[in-house]
Amino acid sequence: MQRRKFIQYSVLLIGSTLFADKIKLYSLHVKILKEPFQTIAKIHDDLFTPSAGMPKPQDFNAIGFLEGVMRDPRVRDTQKEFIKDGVSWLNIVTNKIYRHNYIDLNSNQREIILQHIASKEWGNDWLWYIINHAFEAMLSDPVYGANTNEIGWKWLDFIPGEPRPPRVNPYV
Amino acid sequence: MYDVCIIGSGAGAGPVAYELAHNGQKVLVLEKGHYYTREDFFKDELAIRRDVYTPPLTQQQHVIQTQNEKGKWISVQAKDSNWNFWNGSMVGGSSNLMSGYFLRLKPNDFKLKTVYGPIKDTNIVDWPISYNDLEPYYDKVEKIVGVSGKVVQHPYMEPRSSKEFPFPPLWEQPISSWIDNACKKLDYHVFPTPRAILPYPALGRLGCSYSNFCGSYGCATGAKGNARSALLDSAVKTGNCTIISDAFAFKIDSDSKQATKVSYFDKNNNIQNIQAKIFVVACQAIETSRLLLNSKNVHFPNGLLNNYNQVGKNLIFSAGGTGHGTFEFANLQKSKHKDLMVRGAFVNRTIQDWYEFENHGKKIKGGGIDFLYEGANPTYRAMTQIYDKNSKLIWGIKLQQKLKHAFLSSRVLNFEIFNDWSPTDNCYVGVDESVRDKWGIPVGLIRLNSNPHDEMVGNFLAQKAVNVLKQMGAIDIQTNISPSPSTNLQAGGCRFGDDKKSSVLDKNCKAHALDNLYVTDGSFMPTGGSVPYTFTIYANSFRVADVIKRRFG
Repeated sequence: MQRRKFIQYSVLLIGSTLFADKIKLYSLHVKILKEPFQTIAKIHDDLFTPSAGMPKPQDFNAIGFLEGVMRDPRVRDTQKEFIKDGVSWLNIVTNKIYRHNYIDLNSNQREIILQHIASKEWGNDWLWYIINHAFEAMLSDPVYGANTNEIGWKWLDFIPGEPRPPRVNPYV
Repeated sequence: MYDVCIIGSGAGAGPVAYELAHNGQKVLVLEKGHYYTREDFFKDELAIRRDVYTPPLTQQQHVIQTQNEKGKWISVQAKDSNWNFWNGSMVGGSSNLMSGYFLRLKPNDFKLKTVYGPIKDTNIVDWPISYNDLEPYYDKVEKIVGVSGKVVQHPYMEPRSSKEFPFPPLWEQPISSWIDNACKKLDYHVFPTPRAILPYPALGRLGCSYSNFCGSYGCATGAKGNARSALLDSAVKTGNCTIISDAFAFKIDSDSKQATKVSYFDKNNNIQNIQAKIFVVACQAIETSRLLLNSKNVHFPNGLLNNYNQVGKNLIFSAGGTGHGTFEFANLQKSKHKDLMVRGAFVNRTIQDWYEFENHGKKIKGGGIDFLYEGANPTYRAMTQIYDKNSKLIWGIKLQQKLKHAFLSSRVLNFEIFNDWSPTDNCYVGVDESVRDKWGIPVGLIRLNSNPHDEMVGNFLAQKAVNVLKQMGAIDIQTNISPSPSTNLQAGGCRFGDDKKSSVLDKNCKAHALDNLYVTDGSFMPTGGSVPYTFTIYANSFRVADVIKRRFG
């Protein structure tokens, strides 16, 4: 983002006042997943199947970060609802076609479903948000509890700017 | 009682506070946002993506009106849309987050109507002052705020009283010389973009650290000439300037001749009142008009200074758009790969050869082209890779290969087009009584309308930029000239002029209707020129500061 701030970018800039104590907890390391996270974790695995050296979603804590997004007061409630609703709509589609929820399908079936929903307006938008927050997890400063050991930055040879955000976030 | 109370602390406020505090006046600055210092700024993309420097739209927002295909005006609240017209609520305002492209207006920008004639369905007028009136203050900004650059003659070079910039150009990217070579072959005149960034420690501030993250980020060294680092810190040091942050001014009271007090909510949401001999409003264009329109009293039943229904009218942005081209390592010699991967340096190249041009035999106003690298923000860059050439979402190996290629085997050079946003009857600021902010104050209503003429000019300029990219060997060249406003480049709403029925302010930016109220942000501008506004706002604010100083003798 440079000096000309266009509206088409502002959808990316939906936004967080992250208080010091919340920063430490922005991304939880969740072991037992409840919905919508259980399904989205499977979607992460399917969208980011390890190849070309990309780290696994678990390695940059994509789902823990998303849990933080859902608690982030700077992320619009409508967006949070959309992320949750998308899982319900996804399972309506999978049940109509395969009579099972997404997580119970085999990998070929899941790929067919992803292609199917990506061709729908809601599905395309929903996947956009899922990818967007996964990339935030992979490429934000590790202070947010994702991009563990800078694994995403290392994969893309990205060098962060200085000064980097400290442990205690000052945006209070 | 203060000598001067300034509402806002950005580019319109800083010079007045600086000049008057140094002149011995007691100055109070009221700023709605927090008091961050350079120690509070980090290169944290997620903080920028979450808009941490602007108010949450659920608490403070605008209502935006746009016209649908059938010509009907549709209102939407910002919190329910992708619109966000806030630009840096903090001490120093949005100048903290600027890129600091400090290009002057040209002499003809002050007399657009006279030189180029009227444009259908627009309200273009000449300014009541000339370039010569403002030139000494551009010069002053270059020296006090600190502008780095190199004077290179070109067809639309404006007259300068100082031969050179006070600071040499910043460290430049190798690709800048590629642009120079391409322009030479095309017979275009390219020059280093002047920047309000110090290349080395000076003026009591540190030099640039070349962190690779500048625009949209607060400056951690103070090298960027934002109003806080460059002016307010110095004003406070005099002992004559007090800054109250977290102070939202919501009403200015007046009698029939004088502004009498300003009321604000403090950080505990208690109402406080301030009296001063002179009031200066500089809240950025949209919020300045909103404050005046919300300040009704028996003498001004339609809002302060709004006797002739001019407050909020002729809101302008910057027209134009962006474009980019990609340089593929595979198409280049290995030695050039390194050139493209240099981190931290600035591209800093501008072309103004078409600041005016002929269209169907008529001379019309054009604009400028600036070149810069795609921003370094990794999440943003990654998100630009998620569609294929048919605009289909991709994932898996395809996406991963595309990401690797974008980050490691290519580099994107952007350009930005700046041309005039013509003022029209349907681009203005009002207030929406039915929508309130967290303090219960009616929010600003922004009606948006652009003139097709501006888009035509933008497209003309974009093709010239495309020529440069082609000459340089870029591929995948794309342009995006848009009728959408650039929400961070706002001006107008309280025009200055000689006629009190068609303007709000006189030529010194004093209200026609009150003896002690000035407006010094970009609101005064009847037309905006074809460059970012901050430099001109700074210069004009220094000019007005001289006028106010004279009042104190």
